[in-house]
Amino acid sequence: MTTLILGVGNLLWADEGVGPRLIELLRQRGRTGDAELVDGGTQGLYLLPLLTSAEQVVLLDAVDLGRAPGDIVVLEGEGISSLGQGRPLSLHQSSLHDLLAAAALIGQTPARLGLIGIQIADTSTWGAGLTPNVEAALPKAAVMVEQWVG
Amino acid sequence: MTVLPTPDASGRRVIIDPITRIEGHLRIEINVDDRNVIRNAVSVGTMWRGLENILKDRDPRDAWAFAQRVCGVCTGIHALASLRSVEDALAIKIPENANLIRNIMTLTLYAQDHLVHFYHLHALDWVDVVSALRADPAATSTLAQSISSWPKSSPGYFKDIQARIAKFVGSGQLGPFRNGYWGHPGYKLPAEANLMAVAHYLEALEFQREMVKIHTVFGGKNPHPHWVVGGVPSAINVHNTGAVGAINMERLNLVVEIARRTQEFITQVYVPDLLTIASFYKDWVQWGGGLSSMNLMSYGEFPGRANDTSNDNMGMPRGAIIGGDLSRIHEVDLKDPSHIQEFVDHSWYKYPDEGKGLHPFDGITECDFRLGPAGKIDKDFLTQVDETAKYSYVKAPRFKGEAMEVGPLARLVIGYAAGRADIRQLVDGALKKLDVPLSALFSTLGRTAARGLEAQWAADRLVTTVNDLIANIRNGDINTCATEKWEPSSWPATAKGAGYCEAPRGALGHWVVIKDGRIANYQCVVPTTWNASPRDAKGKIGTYEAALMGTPMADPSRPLEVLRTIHSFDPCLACATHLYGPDGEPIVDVKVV
Repeated sequence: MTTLILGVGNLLWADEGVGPRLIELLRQRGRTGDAELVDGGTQGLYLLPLLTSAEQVVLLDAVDLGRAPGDIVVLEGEGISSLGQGRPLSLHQSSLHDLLAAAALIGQTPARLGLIGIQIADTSTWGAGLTPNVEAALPKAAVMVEQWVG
Repeated sequence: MTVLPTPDASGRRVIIDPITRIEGHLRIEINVDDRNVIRNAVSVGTMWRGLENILKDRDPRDAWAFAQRVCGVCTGIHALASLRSVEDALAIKIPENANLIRNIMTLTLYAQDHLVHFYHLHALDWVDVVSALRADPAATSTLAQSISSWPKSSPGYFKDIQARIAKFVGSGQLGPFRNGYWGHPGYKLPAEANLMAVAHYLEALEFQREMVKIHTVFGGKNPHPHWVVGGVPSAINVHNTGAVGAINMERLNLVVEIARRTQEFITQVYVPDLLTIASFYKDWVQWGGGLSSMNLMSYGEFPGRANDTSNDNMGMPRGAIIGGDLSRIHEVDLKDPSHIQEFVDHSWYKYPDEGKGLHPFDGITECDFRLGPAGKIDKDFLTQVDETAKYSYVKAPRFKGEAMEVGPLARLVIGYAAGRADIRQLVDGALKKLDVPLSALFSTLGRTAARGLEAQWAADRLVTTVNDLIANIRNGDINTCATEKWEPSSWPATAKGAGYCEAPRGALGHWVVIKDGRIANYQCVVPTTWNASPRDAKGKIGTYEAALMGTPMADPSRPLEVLRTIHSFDPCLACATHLYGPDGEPIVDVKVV
């Protein structure tokens, strides 16, 4: 089964960059086997070629669900779109949602789709790195990603 | 020449926040009179962008990598503008192959961006998805076959599409179709045209996946391809030996094939759809023109030969039109301090001497969020801005003191005025098919049509540029990068450079000041800064603002007309993100106050 691990978010914007930062860490750890690791940035619909290229896909993203900064949520399949319907799930809610809908519309939703989200604290400081609680959550999140794809 | 009406803010205020189906976050506030005609328009960029400050003190050879992260969507073009600014500063001459490959990357971006914009961001302003569910598949097939030879046009095909959409909507998923003003009286297409357009919406989603493979061939990876100061990072090896990932004939043939299919899709699907849809919306040649009949600007793009920025060498010419005088094309010089200046009198930035514009070499990006007396904030939420004071995070760039429209319409009109035969043929052909005069271009519909025609131009040129590259390689030139000035020890102590680009959305400039091998100042003026500009020191309104003036609205609480005009510019404020609270703010808020 082909696997894609896709981190989304803006590296230049504090906790917003947690998805791509997690991709970096996973690459260093080297425990995700044949899975493709991609920093997707904030490209929205332009990520469709990637999203539809693998049989299982896990998205790594910043979320704001009012939890403690650094809390990790794991969602799978329907859970991702249904949560998004009621209330915006992530910072790229509209674009990520449109992306998943676009894949569904052309009948190419990955057979298994997950989202590992990290509760963020600060997304307003340009050029800043991750805040301490979010930074500290990275190793745990990496293990969860490895288990998810494992 | 038309004269812009003076904004009149006495009528009802309508606030649309955010404008949906754009990249990034934009807020529009308008005042309508008692007949619901827009009499005042205010364009508000609500998120701060401080790339400039991030780049200070960095190695100029790395600037492109940061620059391509400033915008989530137009990554490659920011990288290119950055490279050109550094190469200009250090007088680096790039090889012919590098110029051709950069042109191929940009032409692919034009074709892909315009296609995605038309079908996925803009078409739903004209196409009613709900109406498509009522279409007769056989009649849709007849319509499709009457406008194009595109093979996917049987009644069965359209019936399948209809079933797919019905199932999708029925399952409660709305995805891209949410927030549509379905059933709005402004929708004029017959159900069959709606179904045909929706089918092509899906085909375009599939097709754009193919196009990005070109970026992977030359940039090594997508979505963030590699770039390099001095050329391109790709090695060429047509004998199939040597480095892994080098460009060989097999990969070049793949590019030829994708370019051919791109040309086919745009010729047989995009342009016929565009002209068919336009034929039902000819009333939209009256509205949305704004500055387009007066002030237009292009920096020029697609140099045929490397390192030659003379206008004759540019596939799309450089120049500005002021006051609607198409007989005179003004020279545009990115380094002349009297040409391009940015003002912050109405922007949330601070200058030591406000009221005076600054050329980007001397540009300052210092945040200063303050509202005027009529501005209102309710707990952290911006309720209303006051356009008599500062009201946007977008600066106000001006060319010789004038607000300018940039983008495909500006490029085509400047090319047309310059007498370019390829552009004249393209534009005249479309005008003839629609049976409208040249002046019809200066409108919302004209702007949307110009983008489609430019996609055609870009796809045609993509095919020829790929052939030029192959011919150059066959002639024995495999050089892709100039490295003589790679080491900072070869640079002068101080240097300044301007990087021009015509991004799909319009004129893009990066300005760099290098001191002792490091970046001392860096400024970007992006296309959306020109188009989404607020008022300036003299009170001159910005491009979006001008375009909205005078438009009649059917129902201000469902502002479809505003979306049509704003989307016709393809706004990109993707450098911004927007944070929603855990309780879920409404995704779109239209307030009539």
